[in-house]
Amino acid sequence: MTDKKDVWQGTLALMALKTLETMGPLHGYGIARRIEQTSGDLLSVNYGTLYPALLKLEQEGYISSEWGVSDNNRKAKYYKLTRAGRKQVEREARDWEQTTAILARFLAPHEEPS
Amino acid sequence: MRKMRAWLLRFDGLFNKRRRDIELSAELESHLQLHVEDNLRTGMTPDEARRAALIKLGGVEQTKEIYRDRKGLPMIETFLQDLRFGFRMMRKSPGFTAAAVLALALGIGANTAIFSVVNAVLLHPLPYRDAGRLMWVTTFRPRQGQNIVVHPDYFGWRQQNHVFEDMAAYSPGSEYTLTGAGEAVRLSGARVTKSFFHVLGVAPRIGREFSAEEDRPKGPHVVILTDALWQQRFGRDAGVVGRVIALDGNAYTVVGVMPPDFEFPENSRAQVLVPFALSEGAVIVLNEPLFMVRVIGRLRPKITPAAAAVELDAIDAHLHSSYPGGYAKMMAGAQARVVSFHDHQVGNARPALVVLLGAVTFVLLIACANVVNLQLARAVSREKEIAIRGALGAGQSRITRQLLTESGLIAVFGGAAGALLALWALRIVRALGPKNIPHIASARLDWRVLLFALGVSLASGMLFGLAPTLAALRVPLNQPLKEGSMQGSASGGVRRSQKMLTAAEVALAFVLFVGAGLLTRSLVRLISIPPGFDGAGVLTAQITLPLNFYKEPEQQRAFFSELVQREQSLPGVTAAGATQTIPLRGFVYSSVLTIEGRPVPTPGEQRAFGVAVDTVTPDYCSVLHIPLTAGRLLDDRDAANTPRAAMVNQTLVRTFFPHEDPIGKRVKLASVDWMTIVGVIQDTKQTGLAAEVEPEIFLPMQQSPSDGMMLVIRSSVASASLVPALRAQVAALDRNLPVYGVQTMDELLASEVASQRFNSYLLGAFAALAIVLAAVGIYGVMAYAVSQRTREIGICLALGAEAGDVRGLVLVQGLWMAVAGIVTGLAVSFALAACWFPARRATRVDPMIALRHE
Repeated sequence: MTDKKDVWQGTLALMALKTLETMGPLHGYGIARRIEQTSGDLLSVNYGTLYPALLKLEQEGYISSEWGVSDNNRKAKYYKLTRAGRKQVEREARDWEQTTAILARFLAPHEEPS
Repeated sequence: MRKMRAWLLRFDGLFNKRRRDIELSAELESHLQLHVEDNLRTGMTPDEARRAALIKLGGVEQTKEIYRDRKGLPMIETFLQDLRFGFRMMRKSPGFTAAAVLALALGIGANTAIFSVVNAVLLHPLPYRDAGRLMWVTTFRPRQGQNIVVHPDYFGWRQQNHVFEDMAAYSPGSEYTLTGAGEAVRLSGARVTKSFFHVLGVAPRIGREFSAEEDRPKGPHVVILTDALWQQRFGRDAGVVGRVIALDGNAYTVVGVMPPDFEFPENSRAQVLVPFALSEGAVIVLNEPLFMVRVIGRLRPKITPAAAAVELDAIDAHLHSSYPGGYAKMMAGAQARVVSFHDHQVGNARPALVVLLGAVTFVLLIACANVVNLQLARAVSREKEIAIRGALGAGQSRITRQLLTESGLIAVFGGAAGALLALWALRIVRALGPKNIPHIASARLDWRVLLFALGVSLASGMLFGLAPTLAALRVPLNQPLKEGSMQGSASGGVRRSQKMLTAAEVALAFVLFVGAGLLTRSLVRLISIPPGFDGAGVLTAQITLPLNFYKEPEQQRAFFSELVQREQSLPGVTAAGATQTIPLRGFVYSSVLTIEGRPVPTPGEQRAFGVAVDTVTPDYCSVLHIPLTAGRLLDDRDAANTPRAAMVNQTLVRTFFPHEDPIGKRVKLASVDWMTIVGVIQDTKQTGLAAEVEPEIFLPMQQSPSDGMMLVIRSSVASASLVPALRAQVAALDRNLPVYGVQTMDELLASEVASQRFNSYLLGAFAALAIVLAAVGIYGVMAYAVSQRTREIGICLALGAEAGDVRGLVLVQGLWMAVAGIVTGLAVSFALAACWFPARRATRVDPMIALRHE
């Protein structure tokens, strides 16, 4: 159970980082919405689970946060990618691609080597 | 790096909990508002919008909980929280806390005390450089049935072996009279070879070691002092080096002083070291003195004792064949033994200490079982509390951690109290501990002992914390809550485990009790062995004449005759005598008996014809109340100029004259010419209460004077009050003669059984402790069970049961536990005895230490 959660946490973190990379500074709600839209609503998550993930990223120094004002004049906490965060996105994305590529090859039907 | 940073931030997060909670709330609130606005834009009503947003956010409290965990260090936080809660629980039930802490304190205290003795005695490293490589080296000679090394063996080994870096020989038993430095005093000394210091890795603190020249026969007389003697007799004067002191009337130059931490091997109390001055060479020269030596060797790195023994055997095979005929035969079948010096030193103390350690472990287990019982009882009443915690979202691991923290807290308190108890117990152990256990006086609570106590506390905390935790977790959450206002009642499982624990306690206590009983019985048996004499009110003291002033037998005879006469005339003295060896002193002089009309014993028969030899003044038997069984006692008729006479003991008669009247028979010893047996006296225990009595022959002092005698004085006044007068009488005869070894026969008898007494007192105390703890355990369980079954009992009574029936029911239950425990205990005792006795028989060593001479 813990393992699955870790995977989920890891992917969630990567998705949040990637979101911040493409969208620029964004508040938690925005990140959550964006992840949901991008995943085509396939990934229906409780928005609440995002916040511990954001905190972890911030503690690790990949993102920073400050309070700001939203487009419709709401106070909100904005997150933005740090330099370390940018590198981390690249690294994580590469790792993820590799993993999926391997898994894809693994799962695809193929002939037995003779 | 990143992880570090995160940890630091989280550690920081421990301290500003409120601020971060507020911040998260604000963030979540802003999140909700953003979401609600979006929802409103899609056309929901405000209520719907808020509801949908909340649902989508998920459990706010859960999110906050996870967030909090991530923000700080939940482990430490919950630990602190559990600790606070644990303290509160302890305060809330002081009775439970006191009982648990006390039980543990007793168990841990006993363990800590015994462990500190084990630490001091068994784990104490020898105070020598790289002591692990020091070996005690000897040869077992089947012919003599003893370990004997003579000095040519030592030289042969030392010169020819390739397994030892170096070897040294020593002899710890010598004594010297020091005169000219205050009042004359008898010193115990040791003779050591030059290599002794190098092998042990010790060196004098001032001055130097012996030189090669000093360690040769007829070399210059030199001496090294121990620090204690230097302090007592020479006022720590550094100028003592180079000074000449008189030992036995001979001039010795002090060349060095040993450091304060120097310990002579084998628990010897040597105060001076002198060169052994052996004539070097691996040959036995007939008519030259042959010395028995003890040998210590330092193994080369990576050589095992077994390999060393093999090499020494090879050397011996060659060596012994070069010895003159008789000696070569004596050595037949000799086996070299190489034993770790540490084992050699503490070997005798080990079995007793291991048994005691086992016993205190039992006590601790019983204490733990008691605490488990208490915890189980409490766990039942806490079922509801735990269920509520579970309902509020505490996971199993969270509850386990909390319960374990509570037990750990009790264990730590118990451990601290136990350490205090141990401190107090150690004072008693140090005072009562038998002197023959090396280093027992240095047993104290050092860091190693405290670490042990802490480890034991935490381990026992885990042990007794786990059981109730498991019991608590087995109960389904909703059940205790459903029972409503009814008192939670012990489930069958809990009650069964309580009973089993109590039965186990009784079993353990019973095993200890049996062990203590066996030890006490053997102590009683030892004490009740008739020593063959009556020592009550008898004072003994030792005097040794320096041979350079009292060389002639006439001088020795005259001195002791005069001294004994003077003692007899002291006020309060009813009888006084002198003997070469008093009973129970632990050693005898021995010789080989030749009987007139029978063949002279051959070298191979020397053991069979070995007898103990003693020289006594006429009143010896009357002082010690040793009864005469045949013939007459030695008396004033047996003077220097009359035919030689001798008394023998009953064992000698049984051994050599089983069907004859010994009176009138003529016998001779290796160094004493033909004499006539005039009397037979009752056996006395010479070498120890438990030892077999050897055949013994008593010679009249007038006919066989000795330079060393022990006075035996029976008086009608307190023995201690005689000592000044005794010293004054000796000083009047010779100012330079020290009186030493002053003690009463009662003291001698007491020290003979000191170690057995120590062991059986300790084990007895532990058994008593165990029984008290087990009784408390039974009481606790029964009291608890009755209180839990009040309703049931009430119903029984209402349905017409007599009070007696109920009492019977409860009693039977308690008895069932006790009986089950005792039966198990009995079985365990038998099993232990079945292992213990053969093991002990296998390791038992001949307790007789005979000083073979002549």
